[in-house]
Amino acid sequence: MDELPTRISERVESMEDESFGGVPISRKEFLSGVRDELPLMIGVAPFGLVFGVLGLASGLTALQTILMSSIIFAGASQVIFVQMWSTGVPAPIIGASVSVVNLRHSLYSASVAPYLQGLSVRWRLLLAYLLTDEAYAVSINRFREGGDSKFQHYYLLGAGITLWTTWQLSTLIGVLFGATVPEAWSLEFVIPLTFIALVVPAIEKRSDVAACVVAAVISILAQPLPWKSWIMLATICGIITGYSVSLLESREVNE
Amino acid sequence: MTWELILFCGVITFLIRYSMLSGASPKELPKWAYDALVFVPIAVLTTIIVPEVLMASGNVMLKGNFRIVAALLASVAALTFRSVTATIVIGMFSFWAMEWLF
Repeated sequence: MDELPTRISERVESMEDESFGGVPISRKEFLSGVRDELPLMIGVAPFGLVFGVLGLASGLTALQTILMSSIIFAGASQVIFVQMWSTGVPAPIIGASVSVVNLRHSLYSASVAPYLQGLSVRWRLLLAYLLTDEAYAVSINRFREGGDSKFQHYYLLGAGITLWTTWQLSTLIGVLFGATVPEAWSLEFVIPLTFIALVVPAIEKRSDVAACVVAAVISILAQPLPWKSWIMLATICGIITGYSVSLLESREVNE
Repeated sequence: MTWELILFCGVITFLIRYSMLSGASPKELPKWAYDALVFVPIAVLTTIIVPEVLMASGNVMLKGNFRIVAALLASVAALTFRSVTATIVIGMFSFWAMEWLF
């Protein structure tokens, strides 16, 4: 560390945010979030292009399609919105479907809440807005590892902003240029592959396997349920099963 | 009407995401809740993955479904390399290879 006098503001900053090799930990965490989120953009960018094209085709205006990506900011539910819109489904049904599809985010919210305690309201509002599937999936791994726990929220911020920027730009390009990817490439398959990369290495215990199997079976069997409520049903059944098996596991350890 | 619907969906989605971060929920969750929330990523991501792999055509397809093979290869890649990029590359290229070959 050099001994040159620093401005007071910098000194205050460096006291709060212990610098490591001159780089504040908060910035390191932010950049880690960006870096770890970037590979997921291979799947998100084509998805955004497709959404932009579908939005226009459904009869929404260019402005409505573009702004929907920042107002709702939840890809799968936006696609459901425009698909229903194009077939003339009544607005209350569209609203209900989008809500039900996005209900799973309440579980993300509960899951990250313990790690974000003590943050200001402004931070929590911002991070809640950025709490998408892809940002959550990457960040929760980091949170559980511990990392630099005091500045972990910068990691979620980095991952969230990366996703947000990609989603807005790809929607915009889809709308303005009608640019899309040939269906024959099956690029939509990248999204489940992305999640495979995140979920498979996390399966370690029998309780993890149980949660995975039950969620998988119900996600198929419950497909006929209205408003895509199979998503929440399969997820909750998976969580209950995993938790129940984990209770049995801990009992075995105790005996 | 259109704008109202978009705004409504945006507000609902945001409120869902903010629900447990709002501070309205109890500061300390009971221990069982923490232990159960551990399974959120596995349960929700599996729920998203499985229909995308098995039901790409709209119906469940087990025979001649290249996505199943590609997903299994991608799983092996995920365990081996622990890298999102490697998993996507191996999954996509094996899928394309099967489509071209068969």
